[in-house]
Amino acid sequence: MSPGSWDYWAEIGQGFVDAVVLLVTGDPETWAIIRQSLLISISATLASMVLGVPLGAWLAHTRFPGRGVVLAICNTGFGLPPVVVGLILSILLLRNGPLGYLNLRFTPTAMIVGQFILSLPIVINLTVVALQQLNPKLRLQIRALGASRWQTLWLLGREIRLPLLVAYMAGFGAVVSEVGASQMLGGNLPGSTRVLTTAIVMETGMGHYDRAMAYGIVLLILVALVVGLLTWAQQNDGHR
Amino acid sequence: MKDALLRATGISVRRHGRLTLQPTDFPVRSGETVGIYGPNGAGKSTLLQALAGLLPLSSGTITVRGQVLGKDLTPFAYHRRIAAVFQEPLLLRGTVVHNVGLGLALRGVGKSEREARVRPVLEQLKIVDLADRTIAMLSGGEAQRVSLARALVLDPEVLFLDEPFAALDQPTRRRLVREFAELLRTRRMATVFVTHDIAEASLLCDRCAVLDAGAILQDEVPAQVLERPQTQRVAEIVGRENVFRSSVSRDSNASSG
Repeated sequence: MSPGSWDYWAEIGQGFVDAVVLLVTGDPETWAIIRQSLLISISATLASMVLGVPLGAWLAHTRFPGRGVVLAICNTGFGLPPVVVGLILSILLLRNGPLGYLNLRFTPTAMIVGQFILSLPIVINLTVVALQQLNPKLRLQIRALGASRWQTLWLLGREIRLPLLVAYMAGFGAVVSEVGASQMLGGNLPGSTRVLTTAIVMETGMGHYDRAMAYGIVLLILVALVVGLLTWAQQNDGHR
Repeated sequence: MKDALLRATGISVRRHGRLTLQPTDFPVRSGETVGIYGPNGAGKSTLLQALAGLLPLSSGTITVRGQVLGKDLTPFAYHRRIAAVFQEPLLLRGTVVHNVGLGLALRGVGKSEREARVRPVLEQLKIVDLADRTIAMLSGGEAQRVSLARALVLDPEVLFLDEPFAALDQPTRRRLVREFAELLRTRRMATVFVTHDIAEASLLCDRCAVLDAGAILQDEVPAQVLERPQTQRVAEIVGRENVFRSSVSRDSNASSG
């Protein structure tokens, strides 16, 4: 089957048609994979927001020796190789490793932890940048208005809600589409740790191009939704 | 002498190892508008922020109606009794009404009472028509009116103004200063007003402290400071601005005639 031949394109075309059929007919296996993908990546990114936003706020407003190093580590985290995170966590989670007693290897929880670690530096970094772009006098004004510590945090958070949405989306986009850590920590077990990316790798390897393409389409749609939501938010931001 | 509402005793502020405010005594009596006047970098904003409890002090104490700030009175509790307006409007995301009512909302004032209290202040500052606009749609002058309204609606015991008119264009500035002078005359609240414009100081203030290099050189009624500067440095500082003063007073004659 040469690249230019009719058979080749016919098979690819058929794969695409089958992919659409799989999606619209609600194939249970396909939907299980989509569900796990969303569940794992949304939980991981939410967790990284819960820890990363306060940490970023603290880093933005506190001066201490070594602060530059911490910020540099967060910047490095942007390029944190997922396979390395997968490797380190896998070693820790080995049966006789330090965290082996948790029995987390090849579970969705292990994948959430891995993806959490991958998105955390992104969230911290974007939070720090967002807060540093605010007028420094704004905090003074908010304090002078009689805001308590929590009210101050709330008001500042409100000011940077769009950058925070960007942070969430950037984190989600990064982890939902990574394959290295997910494969190593989850093991691609059907119905549990099989997600879009690991399924695409597997189905492609087995020659099931229709399924691989169906998952690829879903992944693309997810990314398009993320980008679309961000664009919409940015367009509407000035008016509220 | 009536006892001061707010009294700073020997306060100094150190920033990056340098004393930006020398040990200073500074009283603010109730109903009094006090100007802090001086050249750029004199430490005017530092003194204002120190008095407003927004800066850590290197020495000295601030007493509010006999209560020592940081001992008998927490900075948080103090901030609930004052209000501040800075050179930039520093508005927060949302509508004009949201911003003006923000201080009240932070104090737990309910929505209906908030609306009832915000309305007259919007009228006073002539921004009723802007009530439902978002802040992105305001001009510089409008935004600063919103910032002033946000402070006034709190009915503060002391109002701190840090060059609130400095960033505005001349016509807007002149109009707002005049309106504000009227407002201060009717409301008689204790006000600390930082300016580098001696005309503003003499128009608005009962007393004017001349600040240079972090130290108060003279602290008297504006006319006294202008006509009888105690040192050559004070004369230099206020003298340079005298040219300014004549042009402004000519303008106010023209508009009143």
